Amino acid sequence: MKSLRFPRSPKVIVGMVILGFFIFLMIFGPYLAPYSPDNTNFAPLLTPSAHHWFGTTSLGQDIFSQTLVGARATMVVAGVAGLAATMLSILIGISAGYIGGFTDDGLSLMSNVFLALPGLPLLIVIDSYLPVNSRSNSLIIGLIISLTGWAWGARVLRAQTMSLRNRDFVESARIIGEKRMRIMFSEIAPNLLPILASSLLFTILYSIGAYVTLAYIGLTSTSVWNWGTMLFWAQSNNAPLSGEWYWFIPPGMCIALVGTSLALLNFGIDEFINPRLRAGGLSGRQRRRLGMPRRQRLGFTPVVRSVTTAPRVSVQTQNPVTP
Amino acid sequence: MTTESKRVDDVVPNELPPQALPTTTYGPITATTHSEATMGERILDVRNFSVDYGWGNNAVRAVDDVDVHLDRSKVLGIAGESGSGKSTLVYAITRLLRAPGVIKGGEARFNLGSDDEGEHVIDLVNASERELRSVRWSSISIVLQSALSALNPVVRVGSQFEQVLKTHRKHMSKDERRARAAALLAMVGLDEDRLDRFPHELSGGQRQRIMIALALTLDPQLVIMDEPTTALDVVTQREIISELFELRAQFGFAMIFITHDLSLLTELADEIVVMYAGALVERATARELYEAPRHPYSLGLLNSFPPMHGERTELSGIPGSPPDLAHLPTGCRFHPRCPYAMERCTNETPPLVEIQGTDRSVACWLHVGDPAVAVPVELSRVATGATTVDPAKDVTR
Repeated sequence: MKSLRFPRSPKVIVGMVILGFFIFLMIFGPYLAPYSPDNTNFAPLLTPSAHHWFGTTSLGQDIFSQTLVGARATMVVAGVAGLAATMLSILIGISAGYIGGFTDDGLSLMSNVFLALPGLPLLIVIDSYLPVNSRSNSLIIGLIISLTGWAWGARVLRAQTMSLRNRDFVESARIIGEKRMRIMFSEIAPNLLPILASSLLFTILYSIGAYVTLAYIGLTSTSVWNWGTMLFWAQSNNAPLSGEWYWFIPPGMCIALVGTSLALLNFGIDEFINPRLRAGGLSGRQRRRLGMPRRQRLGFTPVVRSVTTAPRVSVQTQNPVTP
Repeated sequence: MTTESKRVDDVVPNELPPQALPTTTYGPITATTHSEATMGERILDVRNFSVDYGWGNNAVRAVDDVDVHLDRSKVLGIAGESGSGKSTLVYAITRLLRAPGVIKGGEARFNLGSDDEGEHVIDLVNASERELRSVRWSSISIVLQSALSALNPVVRVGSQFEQVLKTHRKHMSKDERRARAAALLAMVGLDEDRLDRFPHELSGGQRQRIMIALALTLDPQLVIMDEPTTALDVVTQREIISELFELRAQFGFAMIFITHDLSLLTELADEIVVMYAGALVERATARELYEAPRHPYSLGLLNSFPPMHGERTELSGIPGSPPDLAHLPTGCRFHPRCPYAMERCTNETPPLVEIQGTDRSVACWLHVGDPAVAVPVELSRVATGATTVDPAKDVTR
């Protein structure tokens, strides 16, 4: 399995480091926060200083603590929503693509409807029907966001499944007599891994956006700190207008960085899945040391001379023949 | 034609110091040198050709220091088991080998023909992308193994001819292109109305014929056939082969024929090279190889196929399986499977030795090296010409 190393290109390393940092914050952020995010005992609107790294809000809360504490809810909701939406899209996409017929018609209609419905207004409607106490529940919010995020992945998976369902290996699995579920999830699903992985990353990205937006317009419980509620308070206290940049830049930057890391990881998945791109996982220095060309083009095999050749020889006669 | 030198050549000299001559105690061993002058009738001259898969420590030598050459209008057969490097060699010569394939050394000079200015020779290994593109298809064309995947399934057959002619024969009008395509189809025994079909509407044999017609579209000097008939039934195979030879008689292109079917090659080829685990083990004319093989591996390959003519013989095959190229056996690559293996074979690699005056080479310690070693009788037959039917007569029925 040594060929299954994750590529070590700079893009992937940067992406993994950034994402790892935010996962670390998700787990340990609330314990690392120097103050309670609700603590209003400080002077309002302090600019960043050694005591308050990101300054304070107009209520005198420590923004650094809010950012650290807010990482957990944001990341958990994004993860839950991303995973749930991907599960849904696997289930619906593969079934629609493999089973076909009325099943396909029904499931495709459903995913088309969800694709056509604008996600955010739908989310707002669903969210406003939630009892107020469940608006603080990350799990429930995540599941609701996943409802609007699965359709795109399902369409893509359906299309790919349809192209796989008539391949010979699926045909032979059918002839062997494997069950339909087994063919769908053991024969076909592994072939969809590259699409699944990138679809998961992009669904997570979408979920962060959706959750932050919901919080930003005040539809999640304001008692749960996340980067969206920070932006909500910053906005409702006119921070952008009065130049209190230290209030809205930290949560904004965090959201942008998580998004960047997911996009970078997606490049890595591409190289990881496609073995022909795998040489691309080497760093520039490694390529030069191996004498590799900068880029290898199809239909133009590279030449790297490094072989000693044996001399060409001839003899006049050959060994005697057995009588 | 001068070829511009690539950057890597500036770092590593083209000529690397040769290794010492092998220790053979028999006969005067002489190092042979090839004249660098004109190519004359020779159309392709490949020397010291090595190809790796992968880079650095993971590299595997798939073709090791191979020489092949081919004269105008002749047929060179390349035989060997799956994984012996036949296709790798040919695709690397044409520079079509995909990543992670790398050419690690050697030259592949292609003779484009001569005019008043003298010979136009291009070294495919040093050629630029532009030069390669001008040579491909117009001078060297390829018939791929799998005709179904080589033809674009959503484009009508006629348009595929059209595309080739549009790219390389810009002066032709639409009607001329259509006429040329129809003539090509007629050459391979297909009706003109096939031009309006999609590839999936045709049978395997028809598709393979279309591949051959496509390869001949631009009157190439060299056509490479990569197992062109392997996926077809024997009857169709025979028909296509005989058509190929009529076409060759008509147009005089040279062919490189890759197959593991040695009995087919002995009828088709003028010269045959046998590859084993990336190295040449024997080179001989088709008749000599068929009637009087020198290398035990060639003998084993011949014994694996029923002869097309002559008495019935027991099929024996070759025991064992080809070696892992990443862990080649020491000494002769073939010795673990060779019934005649001697002690020397396990330690020393036999060089490919040209036997002077016989126009053939073999890499086997049985034949060169020690005069005390007697050659088994089945490896020392003399070709008489008695068993081989004239190929031209046979294939055209």
